[in-house]
Amino acid sequence: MPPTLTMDKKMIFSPAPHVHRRRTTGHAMLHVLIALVPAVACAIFYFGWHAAAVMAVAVAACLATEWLITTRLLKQKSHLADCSALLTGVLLALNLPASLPLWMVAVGAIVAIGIAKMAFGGLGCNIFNPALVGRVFLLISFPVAMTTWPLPGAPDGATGATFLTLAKNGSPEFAYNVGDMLAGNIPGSMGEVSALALIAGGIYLLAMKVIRIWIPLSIIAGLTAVDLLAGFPPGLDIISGGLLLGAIFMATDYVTSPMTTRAMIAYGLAIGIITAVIRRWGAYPEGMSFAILIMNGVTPLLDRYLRPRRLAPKPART
Amino acid sequence: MIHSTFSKGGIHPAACKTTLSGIEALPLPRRAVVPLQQHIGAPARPIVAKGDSVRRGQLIAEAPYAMSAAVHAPVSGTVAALEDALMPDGRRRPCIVITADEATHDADETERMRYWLAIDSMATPDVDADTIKRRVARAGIVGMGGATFPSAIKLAPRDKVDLLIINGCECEPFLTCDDALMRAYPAKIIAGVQMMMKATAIDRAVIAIEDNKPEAAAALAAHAVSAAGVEVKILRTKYPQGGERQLIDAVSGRKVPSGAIPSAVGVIVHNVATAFAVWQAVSTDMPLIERVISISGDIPADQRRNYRAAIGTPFAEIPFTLPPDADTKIILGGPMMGKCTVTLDAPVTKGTSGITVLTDARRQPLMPCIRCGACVDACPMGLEPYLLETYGRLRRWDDARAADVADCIECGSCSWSCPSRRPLLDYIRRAKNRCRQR
Repeated sequence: MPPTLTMDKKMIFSPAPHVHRRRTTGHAMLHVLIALVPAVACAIFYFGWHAAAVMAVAVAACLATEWLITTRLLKQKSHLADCSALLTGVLLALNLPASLPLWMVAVGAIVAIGIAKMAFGGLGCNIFNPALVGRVFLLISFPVAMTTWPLPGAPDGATGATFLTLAKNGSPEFAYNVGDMLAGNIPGSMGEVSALALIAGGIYLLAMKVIRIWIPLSIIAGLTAVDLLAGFPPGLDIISGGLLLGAIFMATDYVTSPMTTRAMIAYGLAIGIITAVIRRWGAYPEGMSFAILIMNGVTPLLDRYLRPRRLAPKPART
Repeated sequence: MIHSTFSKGGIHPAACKTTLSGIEALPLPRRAVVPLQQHIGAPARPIVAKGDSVRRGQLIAEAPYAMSAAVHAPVSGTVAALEDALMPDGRRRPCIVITADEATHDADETERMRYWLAIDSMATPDVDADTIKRRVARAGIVGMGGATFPSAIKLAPRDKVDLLIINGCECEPFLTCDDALMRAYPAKIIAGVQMMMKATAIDRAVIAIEDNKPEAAAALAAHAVSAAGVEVKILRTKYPQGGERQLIDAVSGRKVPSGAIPSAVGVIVHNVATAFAVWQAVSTDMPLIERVISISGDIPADQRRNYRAAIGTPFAEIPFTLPPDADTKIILGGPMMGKCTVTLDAPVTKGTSGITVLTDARRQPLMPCIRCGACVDACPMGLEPYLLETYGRLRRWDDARAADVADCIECGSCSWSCPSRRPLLDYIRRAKNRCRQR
């Protein structure tokens, strides 16, 4: 018997295409969270329970802020399931010193989600990276607490200067050995200390095709170029401060970075150059957050002027 | 070995090419519904009246202009009606309905079986270019990859052309009709390609096949050895490799300008099934009344087959069972560019490459664009789908035009790749149509 199309069958009609790749926005966010596992593990390993507490408060405050604004203020359905607020919380925590008072962490989280993200229209609409806005807000508001770096594995609350602070003050060469800088056994923000953990996460993101290599690579290229001109050892500059955390996880944030390859390269180079200029000649020892935020603001222009090359050339005018 | 491909974008949807090998004959319909317009251009003009008796292969509607295509009777019988019949999109279009009685049906089936049994031994005549073009026009051949552009027009290009590309990519998931045809009749396809070369005075032809069809490529390559100027080129499996502009880029590196046709860069592209139909028309005087269709998708595995079906066969006569109690989509063609049919009463036409049945094809809830750039990466035309979608949604037609919406080939790569499940192509199509009208 040939089949007939009857009305009791639930037929669906829609325009093409009818198939779809599996990855959703939530999956992409989850991949980034997985890629952050080594960095989070290092943070807790080096800085102990207080690192875990900072992480927990940052995440909880981000989720709570987003939930309150979407459901209470905007009367929308909660979309915490997309994991983006969770990711912002983790990234914010990784950008803070482990010794930061927890109420300051909560303030940073509220600024990140409430002002940098939701005030601009929520997911996909923010111009600036929320976690970085939270961090810079805290840095400007609480400059002492935000630049007090506990020594890894020091339960007595001993603190130390970061490599970049030492570099700014004159004698960088032998302050920390390269092995400790790669492993993360140095003072610094929770997530930035271990270069190897960050690189492992970066390789995972590249392998899963969550990010493309252009932004991290061109950030490193831009920084290295300035370092070579300034006569600063570029290798140490790459694995110190927030460069790798920023290059792999912050500057590649989809929402606030450009979409075409050419624009990505321009964006990355500019971030690298601005960071190096701030580090060498600016008032702050570290400039990664500022560089990324500045280029976040330029992203719409980059997308507008560095368009993808069309496959079809324009016909010659006759 | 890394095979060449087109230079921009592209995606890798699951191939799902699981039909059984071989081509089977689908019984001729007792009641054939033959639309007058199965091609781009003007509808054919009927030359039979209700009550006339017609025999299989007889001309029943002629092409009034060059930009049209003749239509022939797919079965012998009586013209039951000239009426508007239901098409897959739910509209009614003028058709010639032919009903076969028992005797003519049996005679047709016998004749048809004899033809296909004898086809391997049929000779290829040596005819001149004009004869080839005349027979192609007379046979009502149109582009069988789905575009249904009248083939005779493409065989008489106004520009100077030096390269003939035969499209055997079949980059749409699920479909295997071209693959089956290439495996079954490689010699005839090569002969058809040589006829096309002769008609257009082109001395170089490239048959392009994706690297997921090694048997078809090997079969054609074996026969291409003895054909001067014909080569088989294996391309990477990547959607939309068979898109005309992508194919030309992959094979020759030439870029067809915006708004231009391939002959502007000296290229003509035909589908492998069209090449086979050309051979049939020129060598055996067989008009285009049958074609191979793939039935595939979420149906029992032993029902996924390739059939040789008469034009005018209602879909309901194709043996496949719809999945019970499931949200079901019945798609004409493949899942990337195919259109949903609203009825199984509509007939197989010259451009029907197959039927793909999908369950769980309901659209998922959409999320905000997170500017991930997947659509920009995927677009094989180098456009910015996210921007065009926004312009389409906000009715900013002038901005859409300025962003080259007209270049869109509607391949669906952007919608496929969007992790936020945004219906990019829906809005882009809307902007494109609007820009074209104005």
